[in-house]
Amino acid sequence: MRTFDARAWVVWLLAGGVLVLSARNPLYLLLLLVISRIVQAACAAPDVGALRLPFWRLAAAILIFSTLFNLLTAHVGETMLATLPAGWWLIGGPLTLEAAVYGFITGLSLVTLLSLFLAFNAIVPTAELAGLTPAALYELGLVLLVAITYVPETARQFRRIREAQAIRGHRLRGLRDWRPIAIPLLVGGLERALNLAETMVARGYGATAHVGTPRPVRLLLLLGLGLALGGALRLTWGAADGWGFVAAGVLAVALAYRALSRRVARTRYRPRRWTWADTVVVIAALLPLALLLPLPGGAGLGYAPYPRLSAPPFSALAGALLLGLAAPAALEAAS
Amino acid sequence: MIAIRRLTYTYPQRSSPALRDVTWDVADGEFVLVAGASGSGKSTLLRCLNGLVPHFSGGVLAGRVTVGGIDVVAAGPRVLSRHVGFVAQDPEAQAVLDRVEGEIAFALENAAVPPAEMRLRVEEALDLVDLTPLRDRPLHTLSGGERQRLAIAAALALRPRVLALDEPTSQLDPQSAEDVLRALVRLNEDLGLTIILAEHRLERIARYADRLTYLAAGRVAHDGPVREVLPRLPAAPPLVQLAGALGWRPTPLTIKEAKPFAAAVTPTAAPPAAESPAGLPLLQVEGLRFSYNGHLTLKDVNLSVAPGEAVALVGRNGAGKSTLLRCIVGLLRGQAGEVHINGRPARGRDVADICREVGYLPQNPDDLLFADTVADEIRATLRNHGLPERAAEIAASLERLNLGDVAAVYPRDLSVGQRQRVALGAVTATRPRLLLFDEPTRGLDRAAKEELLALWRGWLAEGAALLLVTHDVEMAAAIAHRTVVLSQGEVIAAGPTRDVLTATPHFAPQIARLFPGRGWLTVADVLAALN
Repeated sequence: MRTFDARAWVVWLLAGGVLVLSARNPLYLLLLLVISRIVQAACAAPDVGALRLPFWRLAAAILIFSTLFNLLTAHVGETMLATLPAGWWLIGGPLTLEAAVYGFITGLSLVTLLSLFLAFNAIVPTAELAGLTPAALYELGLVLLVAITYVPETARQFRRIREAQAIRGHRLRGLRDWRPIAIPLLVGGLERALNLAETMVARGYGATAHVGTPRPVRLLLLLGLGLALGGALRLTWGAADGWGFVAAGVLAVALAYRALSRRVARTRYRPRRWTWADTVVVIAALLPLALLLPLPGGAGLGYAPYPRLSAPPFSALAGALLLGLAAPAALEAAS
Repeated sequence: MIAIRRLTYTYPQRSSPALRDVTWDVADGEFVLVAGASGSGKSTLLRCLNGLVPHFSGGVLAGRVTVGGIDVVAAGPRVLSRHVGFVAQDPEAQAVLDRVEGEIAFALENAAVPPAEMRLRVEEALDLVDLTPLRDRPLHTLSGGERQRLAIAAALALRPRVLALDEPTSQLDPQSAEDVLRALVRLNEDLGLTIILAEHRLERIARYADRLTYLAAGRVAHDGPVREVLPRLPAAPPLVQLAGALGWRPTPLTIKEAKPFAAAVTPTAAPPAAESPAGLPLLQVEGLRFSYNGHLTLKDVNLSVAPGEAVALVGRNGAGKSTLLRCIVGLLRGQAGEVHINGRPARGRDVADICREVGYLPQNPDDLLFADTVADEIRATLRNHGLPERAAEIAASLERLNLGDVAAVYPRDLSVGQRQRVALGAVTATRPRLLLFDEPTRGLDRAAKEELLALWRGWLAEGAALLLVTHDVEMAAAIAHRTVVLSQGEVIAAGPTRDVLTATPHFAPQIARLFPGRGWLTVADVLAALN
């Protein structure tokens, strides 16, 4: 089984997400939805411990709600289905087919976005995601990793304590009844945390801590934060050059962390090597983004049912480009 | 390798020292067992070897500890992590990451070992403890024994010269414990690793160790070759006790070594089988069936316990023993079958109602304790059941549990054995006559076990009925009238303890294995038959 670099998956998710948010054409959205499902089916390992949601039921609920909501509240469009008395607050007025279709498209866009995130979550192990944190912020990633083992254990402990209290006749009725459960959980949790800390120290954790931050790096960090703040202020005043400041600020912070990470003497077990397949995934995901987005509004992936419903356009070229997001599944099948 | 000179250590906010004037040496490649009652300073001594004491725990330390020439107190745990591997008691609480390989690599990443060498060392560590087939598994799918071996592998990854283990098998069933101990023996014999092991289960490991150090109240009470020290200990294994009583020299440490001595013991008639008390059963389980996620965990289980009777329920991990107990008290509902308590069907009654008549002590007594004082724990249960809280009765029941002088103490400050008795007091506050225990001897030292046994004997004499789920066959042999063996949810053997335990080699106590076919289970049985 081929696995791709977590960084490639992040690019895949971002590209897919931006495409979904900018596409209003239901045909393209449907295509993206199908692609994300196929990619998850092809690439997800069975035991990653992904969020298990009843996806199709959830999708149906979102679609129905979104369609009904827009049908009842947006009274624009030319194909009238029925009319509610004008006096009814918010929902009074003509109900149009266009409004229903618009609501459906909004729902479809939400469902597709959800599907992309679920696929990402099912495919990329959390440990690899945490591995993306720069070495200087290693502690932050480690806390996340420890939580992955710590939280389910706490849930098990909670069940055990509830049972233990139940057998001495304890019933949960009011707020005060939580004391017999909360205290053992808290004390037990603290004991476990202390044991864990002891284990980590015994295995040499923190041997590389206390790395000093040299003055130039500190100044660079300060400069970056200042630039980003200034840029944000410029943007709120409506000045377009704010983007430039923000970008420069982010670059400065990134450089500072890069410099800090170099000073940390740690190594990683089995560091993933970037392969040609990762490159293919990234390019295939960025290509539709680069080629479809700049097209002037409506001509690319857009579509509006108003004022009168018409069949959404479908360009074979755009469809083919979107298929690039299915590259991980294709590579997976080919290997 | 290790040299400790006049070490005295006191934990912060404690008045009396945990270690007093300890002078102790370990040679390179030695396998040393550290024994002693709970609270005798075993854990503290082990933590002195890698600097966790005093760097992690705080407190006041006097004296000098050197490992491989390094002054431990000056160097601290981070430096020592490369020289001393450390494995703690609870396998659940020492996993840092959620994958087997990542867990082993954790220490190597901290030490900035180059990736190429890291691969090699992880491979080596997996091999040493036989975990290679499980390398890609998420941790929560591992059994307790596998997790403990993983903790050893993680400690070995830095190639330490000393491995210190703090009761690594106390939370495990006998089979998993055996696997862990066997891994240690191999490390000691094949790699010449110096091993310091704090242990309660001396009978299994005694023959492999070179030396035994016995601590009492923070002092080295006995120290020397296992064969010489073991007979002098109060907590000696049954075989050694028997050898002492019958004057066998040199003291045998294995069944094989004891066989020639045993052959000289003239056969006598088997002791009369202990009469199982008859009477209307307090607990009757008929055709109980329970399945979970489509997997049948209990298949048509029949079981009864009469007043004044103790029944032991034995079986491997996952045989359905705990499930059976939870079905009896109503925490789980069986799909078929009946449970009668005191002759009344339990079906349709809620847990609190059933537990007025049943005392059930779960595996981890700490889950029960939340109150500010020991006496409050008892009161909380009475209040739950809406019963009157009479001070005299509470005092009497605490006296009985030998907790009279700690009635006003915060329960979590007590020793393991005392905490267990507080929990026992909490679940028996309603004075039930039927008592269920899940692994009551786990993590207990010899003295705490003896105290529990005495308590049980008193209750049995008053007509209580006991059902003990246990891995501890020596305990079952000492108290149970009948024994039931559960395997994959089915009762595969049931009958008088004497017959059942001697018939299955897997569950036979040491004495039964030494004298097969004679019907002796305990040292007392043998001595009674010979006099």
